[in-house]
Amino acid sequence: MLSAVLRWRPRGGQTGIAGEARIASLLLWALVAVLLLGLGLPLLFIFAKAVQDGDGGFVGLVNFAQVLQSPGLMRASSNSLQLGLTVTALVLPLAFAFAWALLRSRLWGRGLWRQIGLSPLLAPSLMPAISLVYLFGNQGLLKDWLHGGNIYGFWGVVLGELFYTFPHALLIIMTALSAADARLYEAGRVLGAGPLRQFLTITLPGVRYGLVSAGLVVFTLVLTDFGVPKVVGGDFNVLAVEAFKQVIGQQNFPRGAVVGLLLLLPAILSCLVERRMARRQQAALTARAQPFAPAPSWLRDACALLLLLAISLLLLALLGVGVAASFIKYWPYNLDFTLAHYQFDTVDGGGWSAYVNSLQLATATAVLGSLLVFVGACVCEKLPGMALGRSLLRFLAMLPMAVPGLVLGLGYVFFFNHPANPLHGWYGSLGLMVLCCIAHFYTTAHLTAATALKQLDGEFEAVAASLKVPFWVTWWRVSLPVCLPALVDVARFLFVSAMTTLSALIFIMTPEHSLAAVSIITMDDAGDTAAAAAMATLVVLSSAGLSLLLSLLERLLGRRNQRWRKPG
Amino acid sequence: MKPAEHGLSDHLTMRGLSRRFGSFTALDAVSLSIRKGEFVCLLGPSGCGKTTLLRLIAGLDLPDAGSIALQARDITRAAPAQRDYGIVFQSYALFPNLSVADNIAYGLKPRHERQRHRLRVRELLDMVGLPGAEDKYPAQLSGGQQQRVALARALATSPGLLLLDEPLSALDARVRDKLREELKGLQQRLGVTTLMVTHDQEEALAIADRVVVMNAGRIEQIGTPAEIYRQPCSRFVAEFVGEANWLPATACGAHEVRVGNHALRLQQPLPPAPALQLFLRPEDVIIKPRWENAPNTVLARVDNISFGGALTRIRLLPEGMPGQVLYAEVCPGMLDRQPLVPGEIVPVELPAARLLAFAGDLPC
Repeated sequence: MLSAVLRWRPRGGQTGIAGEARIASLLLWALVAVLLLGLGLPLLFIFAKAVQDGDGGFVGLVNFAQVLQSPGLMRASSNSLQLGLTVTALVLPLAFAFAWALLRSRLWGRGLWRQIGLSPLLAPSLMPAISLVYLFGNQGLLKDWLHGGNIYGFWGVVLGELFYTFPHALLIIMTALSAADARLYEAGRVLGAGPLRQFLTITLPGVRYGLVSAGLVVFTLVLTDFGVPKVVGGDFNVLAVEAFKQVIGQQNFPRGAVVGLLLLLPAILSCLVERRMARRQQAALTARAQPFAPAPSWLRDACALLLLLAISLLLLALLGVGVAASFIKYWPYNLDFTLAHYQFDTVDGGGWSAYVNSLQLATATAVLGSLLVFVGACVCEKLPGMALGRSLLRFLAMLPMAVPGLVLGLGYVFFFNHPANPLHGWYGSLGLMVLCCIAHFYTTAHLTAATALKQLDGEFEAVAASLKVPFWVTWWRVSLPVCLPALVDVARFLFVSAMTTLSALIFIMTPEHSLAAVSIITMDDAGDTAAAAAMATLVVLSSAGLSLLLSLLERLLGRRNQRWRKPG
Repeated sequence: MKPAEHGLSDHLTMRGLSRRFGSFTALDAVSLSIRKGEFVCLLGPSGCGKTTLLRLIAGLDLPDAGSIALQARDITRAAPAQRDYGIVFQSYALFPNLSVADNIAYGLKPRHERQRHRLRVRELLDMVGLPGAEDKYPAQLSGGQQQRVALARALATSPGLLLLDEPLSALDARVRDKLREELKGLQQRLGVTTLMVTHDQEEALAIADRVVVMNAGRIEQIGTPAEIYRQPCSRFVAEFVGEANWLPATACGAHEVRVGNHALRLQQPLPPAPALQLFLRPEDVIIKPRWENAPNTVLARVDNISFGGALTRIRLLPEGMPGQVLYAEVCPGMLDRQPLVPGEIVPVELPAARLLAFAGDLPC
């Protein structure tokens, strides 16, 4: 290969083409370097820290032994496990019922129901926790319902996590349910199977993979979430909060690293299970499948409507109470309208500047991230040769899926806060946080872009090469315009995620550069629940606002592109 | 043959090209020369290596061994853009977001000379029979029209070599026949050296100056369509191209074989093997009006007559060859003069000049 490259060069007048190959490999290795810096090295440093003592000397597995012998940490682990299993067991039937009611009925306004079902995505995981405090807390509206019980603890966390994980489960199960083959149902009906038998023998097996995959995602999310247990956990201690306490509270880095590795375990396991299943699943839906369209049935539609109403009401309550409380003078005694809670002068946490920081962070993540992801996906899917580099890049792109934000944040602390790191000065800056966010959410964004690119004709680059047009011109003139809708989705996803995320950033932010989601925790800790609710409301409104804006942009783009998208 | 009168040297030469994918040998030491202005078809079943060969020539893949020279310049390992060719794929690969004019002008340089490009695009659209389609988008065109645009785009930069990868396979039969004719006419007018990959033998025979039949990574035969059809030099070519009768035979003499109770003469010498298969095209079977004691003539019972448009197909059961079926194809005009009825016994001649013998057992 190398000799071939060398042989090109001496030919006069064709340096541009040799240059093209050089630019391609430069691009590839630059991307690999960015992902190594933002992902690979921090992760390696967690492993390194876990086998070192506080001064950096190698101690082997001593830290692991210490964690295993510490009753507090072991209790936190078993609490986390118990929590994860409970939430997974509860959220799967709920999300399945919601998805089924959406996709297998002929109800009106399914787009709206879908938006409601996905609305928790717009809020940080602290939002449901704050709402729960307003509903069932010591001065809660519905405190009597608990008959002297207390929301702070296991069941409070379960409720909050249900809200937080519901849309993630819903998205996966909806995808699985929508890939139904109508021919199977027709065959079932012809063979005399009733609705129940059809459900048990066709519907359920069809979504088996989706259910397991949703379960794994939810379990991992719950185990590594930090916001809900922090606010309504009370004495109920979980591993994610423990990692934070060890690293930020006690500056015990080695022990934090071990806890981080413990949290990495379920994520890696579920990733492996998922890949195994994906390989088996592939042939399930063939190209000749007929899309399923439900037959009219008022009874089924009525059931579906009830289901949707019940679940939506719960979701909207957990979202809405926090929003409402932020506009109320003194919950629940003086319900007059006020904007006083939005003047963050009297409270800690950074106030409006934290919000502005978050906006900047989310915007930069969305813009830079979309660009990086698009180029990365193009390199992975569309460049010829360079097999080694491309598979390395693909691996790095898939890696974040197995890395909880909390673990990534720990890695950033260990790597970038290391005194010997030349990038040490970058620690705590906005730039580092942007890098962290992009790395954290890279996989989903990459898969979205790569899926869109795969739908392009594989011969575009070949044709362009035969016409002596360099690949970047084709990316700019063809791939980018055709994939623009997918890229808008990527940008929206990155913006909302960066706006609402807490887990990774809480480790690398500094008080001078506070963030909205982090300031919610600070304010709640200080007892300023109303201000926390106000900040959470701001986050929800910004996420929703940008989503709306991008939807409008999409529609506008759609109209402009209609000429070439639609035949005739 | 056209290239001969041009008397020009080889335009594209491949020597000993090999390409392996793991343990699978896609191309096995293939050598081929194409003269300037020639239209060559690579014909073979899927997996025979024809597309691999095309991709090596296009520079989309690199050979494990061997060399490729374009106009005496070694391009074995050159990047696609360093070669001089235009390519058309089965999928058309038109850029969906660019208008027809922008698609065709995609490779024209320098990019700012819009006026010149517009003239060139108009010229090309006239040439491929789509005048006035400049502002349409690919999604607004039919499959045949899209393929014309793809052809115009490939020809826009006036390349010395045109590569066609199953360009007509995705089209309806009627459109395909029309486009095939136009493609051939266009190629002759422009005199551009053309290499087309196809699995459709009828298409290859109709369009090519020379056909290259490939099988399992090797070239089986190179020849004009008539040579390929009438003088297949291997059993594979004989089976792959066109329809044929196969009669199991045993050799007895330099030019004589025995089939059932009959002795048949062949003009060509026999291959040195005891077990033979005789090859005869259905249209070469001659049904005679009356019996005469001529060589290579046998009696056969008419079993079935099926109308097939230009040719009527007759299923015959020759006597003295138990279990053997013989198909004959005759033009309906002959049947008007000599009507046939199922069950009738007719004399049939198997012409010595048309019979070919191949070594081996029954064909599959």
